[in-house]
Amino acid sequence: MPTVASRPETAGFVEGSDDPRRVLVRADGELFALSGVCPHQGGDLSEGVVERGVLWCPVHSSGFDCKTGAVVHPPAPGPLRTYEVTTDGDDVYVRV
Amino acid sequence: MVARLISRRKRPVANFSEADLYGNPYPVYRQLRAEKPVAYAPDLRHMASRPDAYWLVTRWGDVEAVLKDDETYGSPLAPADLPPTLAGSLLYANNREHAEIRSAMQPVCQPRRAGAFAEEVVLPLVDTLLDELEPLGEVDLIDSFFEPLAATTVAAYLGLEDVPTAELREWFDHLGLYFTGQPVPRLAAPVNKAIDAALLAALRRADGHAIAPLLSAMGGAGLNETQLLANAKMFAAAGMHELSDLLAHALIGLVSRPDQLAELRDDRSLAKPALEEAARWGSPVGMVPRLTASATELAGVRIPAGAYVAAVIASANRDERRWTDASTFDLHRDEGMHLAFASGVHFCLGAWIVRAAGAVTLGRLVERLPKLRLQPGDPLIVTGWRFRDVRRLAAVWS
Repeated sequence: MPTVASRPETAGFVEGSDDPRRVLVRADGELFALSGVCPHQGGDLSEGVVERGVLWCPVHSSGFDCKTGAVVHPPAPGPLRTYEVTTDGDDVYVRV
Repeated sequence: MVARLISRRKRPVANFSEADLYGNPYPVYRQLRAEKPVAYAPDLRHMASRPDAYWLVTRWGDVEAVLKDDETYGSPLAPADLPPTLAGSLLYANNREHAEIRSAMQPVCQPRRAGAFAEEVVLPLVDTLLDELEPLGEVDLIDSFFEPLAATTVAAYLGLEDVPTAELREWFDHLGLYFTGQPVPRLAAPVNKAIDAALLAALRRADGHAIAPLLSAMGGAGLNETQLLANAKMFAAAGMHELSDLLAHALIGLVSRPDQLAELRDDRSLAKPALEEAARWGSPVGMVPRLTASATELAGVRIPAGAYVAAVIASANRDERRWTDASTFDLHRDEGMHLAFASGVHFCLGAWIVRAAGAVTLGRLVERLPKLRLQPGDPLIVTGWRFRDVRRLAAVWS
């Protein structure tokens, strides 16, 4: 359960997560949790970039909608799994 | 029966030469997209010295399909009649070998690392160059700024900081010839030897070197010396061209939109979207060559096995089916990602580095030279279709 306050917004980079299989991203001020492994060739999405609501894989630049996990740019063959996020003060809870 | 009907179908032919595409290829691309989106072009050869000609693919959807399917459309073979300068590089690798090289280089080409490199290394290089240029009031930005900056940026990534800039430019220009299909001059062997010697010396110094990470990453991942040298040289040639030309296209686009240039001066966070739009609009890498591993069909056209296919990303990036008012530069465009860095497993390895280095450079350039504009009456020279090279961009700011 990462803490929002300990993870300052970092100019488009992924916010992080305590679990390497998931990433926490901020898009349009909102937090979203998604699978942290690119379904194309296993790229580490915690090294990716978030821009205009899209999470970009750092390896082959597959693009995923932060909100829905849907593929918006190839080559990823399928979407990312998404997880429900709730916050309580500085704490962020991700339902897995 | 179906197969026989397909094989009888007439092959679409595009009778365009290199000269037709040299100055402004976009009218040709528009015509091809409308009439022959997949066409054999007998006068456009993969290598000038060989008979193999390209099949041109010009629509967004078809270019995307080619780039995505690396089994059917593989990497071209390393030309046997060239010196082995780039043999062993990603350019000519497929499948397992490609994945092995890519995974060795990838960790030091990721966005976060590229961002830190741009701030810590590239920005001081930009300031040093601008300190020299600012009092002059006018220069050709290609010769005096973009190319020297690109050469020293690439050198910093490779640990070649001690090599004089003029020599770096000569080396990297030379390496760039291998991408053009033109004959490589007789100087090939001695220049290649000098570059290899400098890279090997840099590798010996590079252990644990935080700033020049590429060589140590490749060495640490177990690439052999041939692969290491070839890929360092590929990185140098591609990085030199891509950074210089992307910045030049961005500036050309911005001066075509004085309103948006003024916006960027006021809000330098717009440097990133300006560069992305420049990548789409200018497509510094105009096309990606592929070689078919088997016969296939694309947009109803049968392409034989062993055919050279040009995925013309410059055309896809201006396809009216995909983009609104595609030939207009607009940094506020919000229509999704372009294909300027290709797509699929061959997505440009250095894209994040070029983006990060380019953004800090563009921001600083308009900050320090607020009156920057084109030199009136001086010709802007942009050439080529394989690469859209900006060869002259004379600017004035006094």
